[in-house]
Amino acid sequence: MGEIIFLLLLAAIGGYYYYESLGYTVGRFDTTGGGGLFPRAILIVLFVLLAARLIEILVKKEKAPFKFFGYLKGVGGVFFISFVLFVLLIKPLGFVVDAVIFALFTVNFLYYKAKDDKKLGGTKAIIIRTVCIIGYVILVNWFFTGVLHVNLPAGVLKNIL
Amino acid sequence: MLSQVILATLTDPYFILLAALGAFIGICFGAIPGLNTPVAIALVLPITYSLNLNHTLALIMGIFMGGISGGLISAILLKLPGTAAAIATCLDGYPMTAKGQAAEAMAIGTFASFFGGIFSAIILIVATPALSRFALSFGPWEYFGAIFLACTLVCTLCDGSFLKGMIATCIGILLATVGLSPIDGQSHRMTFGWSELNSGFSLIIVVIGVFAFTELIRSTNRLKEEKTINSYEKKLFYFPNWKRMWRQKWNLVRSSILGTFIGVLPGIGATEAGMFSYAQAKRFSKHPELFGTGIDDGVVASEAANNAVTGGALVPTLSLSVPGDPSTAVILSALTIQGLQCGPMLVIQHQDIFYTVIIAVLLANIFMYVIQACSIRFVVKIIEVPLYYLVPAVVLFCAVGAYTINNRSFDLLSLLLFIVIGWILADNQYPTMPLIIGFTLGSMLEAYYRRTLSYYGDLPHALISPSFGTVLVAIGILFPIINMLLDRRLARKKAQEQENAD
Repeated sequence: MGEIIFLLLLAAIGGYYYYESLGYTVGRFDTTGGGGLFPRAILIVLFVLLAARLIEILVKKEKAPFKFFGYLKGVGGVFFISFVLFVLLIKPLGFVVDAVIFALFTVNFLYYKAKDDKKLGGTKAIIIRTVCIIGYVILVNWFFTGVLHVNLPAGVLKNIL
Repeated sequence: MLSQVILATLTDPYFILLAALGAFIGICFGAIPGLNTPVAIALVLPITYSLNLNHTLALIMGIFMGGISGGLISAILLKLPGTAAAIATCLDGYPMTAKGQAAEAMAIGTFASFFGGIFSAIILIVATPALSRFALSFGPWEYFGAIFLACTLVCTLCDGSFLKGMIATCIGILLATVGLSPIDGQSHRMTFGWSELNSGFSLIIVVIGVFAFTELIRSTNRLKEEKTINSYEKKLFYFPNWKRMWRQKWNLVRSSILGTFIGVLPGIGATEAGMFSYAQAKRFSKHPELFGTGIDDGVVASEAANNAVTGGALVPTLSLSVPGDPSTAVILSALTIQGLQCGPMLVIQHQDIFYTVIIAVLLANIFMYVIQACSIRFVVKIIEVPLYYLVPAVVLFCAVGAYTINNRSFDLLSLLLFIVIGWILADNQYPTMPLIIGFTLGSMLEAYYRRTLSYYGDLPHALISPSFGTVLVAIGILFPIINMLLDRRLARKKAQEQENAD
């Protein structure tokens, strides 16, 4: 059922695109059908393929569950959510602060999950890890701003960096 | 021209350095199970923005050559192929390790990889201009046919349902249509009024989002995978015994020819080449019963063939813009990002670029051999780096790289969207590589489609025209159908055999 919903969702988005493409302007001397013709041709192929897949599912009675939210589950899910936060906060916090928070959280979280004893290690190990992470972020910041001459958001460290 | 290019590239320290760096990165990514060559190439794409074309070629070819070969390290030491291309290497490589011959296996495998790579590079030099000259007579319809063929063939390359592959290809092509329409520039397609979407989605964002980041983040679900490295003799340079190598001369040549030929064919790559070549080596061997017990022949056959695929796969990529395997598909994206359009004109009109590719390939193979032979001890250490350090570090570095493409947060937000798309597809056995191919070739496909309409008036006229383009389109339609029917027949036969066995 899950995959059928996915296919119908794709068909709905495709249908919207098809409808929208009918309104695209075609130049007076354009003999190629304008900007909407090619997407429409691909959309027709897509609709045929979606229908074929739908028939395949119904005929074979495939019951494998369709995973819509796999990216929100398990360790990978937590990592993905923290990456989403990293992306959303990069402008206000700035790259250095945002990246340090992201790396500190993800490294320690993954470390915790990887160990059977579910511990973060001794105090010394935590301190070394933290120093290495901060060093790494500063190195990446230097590489992009100093070597490749690109601007990264400074955020809260605007007056320092 | 050639001497000028040789002089310009070999006197450029950055070119040499980047080829070496690329080979090292490729070997590391190839050696780490779960990561592979296309992922490595995709991850360096943001960095290539700040490099010129020559340097980009050096880096990417280095990764390509190193990545295919690097898989042998974990295949031999861990019995876990670093890349799918090294599956056949496990069959005899690991038993050699068990017999205490790990150093010999790695030395032989590395040399076979080098031989296969150089052999296929020579074929690349000869075959690409010939194919390009043939393709010079192509008009828009023929180009459309070639790209259409690439799009359909790539679906047969991927595991799983052909229908799912084609759906992914269509999604990729449709994503490529977002933004201002080409040729007339009149329609704002699916932009929802956002000016950021006028130029469409960035190719880098799509490639690293759908493919590389999805793979990386998903790998965090396998944090507890054991990686037990077997003990091996630690040497400064892993050099094969010449007498043993001489006995493999015909095996080396045969496997290299097979690998190159398989590489040229779009749709099948290094994995199939390694397995097929291994089977052929066994067939031609005087002692086929020894295969799988840890003999040189098996390692040589697999490694020479899988590295020979590299040069072979570049032939259709450079001359027709049709990628031969997943790695060349990402390379095609990288070259497109650099503003380079592959195709017959590349070889005919931009010979300097073609020669640079050749030199980059040759140099990358040399570096691959030297670095791999010298650095196996260090690469093994990288295999041991836990994922909880590796993944956040790589993700962070590449996310910043993605941000720097246009210096805007919108690219990072679209990166999230593509991670979600890639994840949903991968979780449900929809191959992601066709989506990337569709996105990479989508705009070219549209441009040639519209030029064809302009030339022939309408599609039916083009379809009934006695041209090579019609043949290519027909193959593009028929080949996957035949492939699908054969697959079904094979599956039915297998099911029947199992039924009989039960």
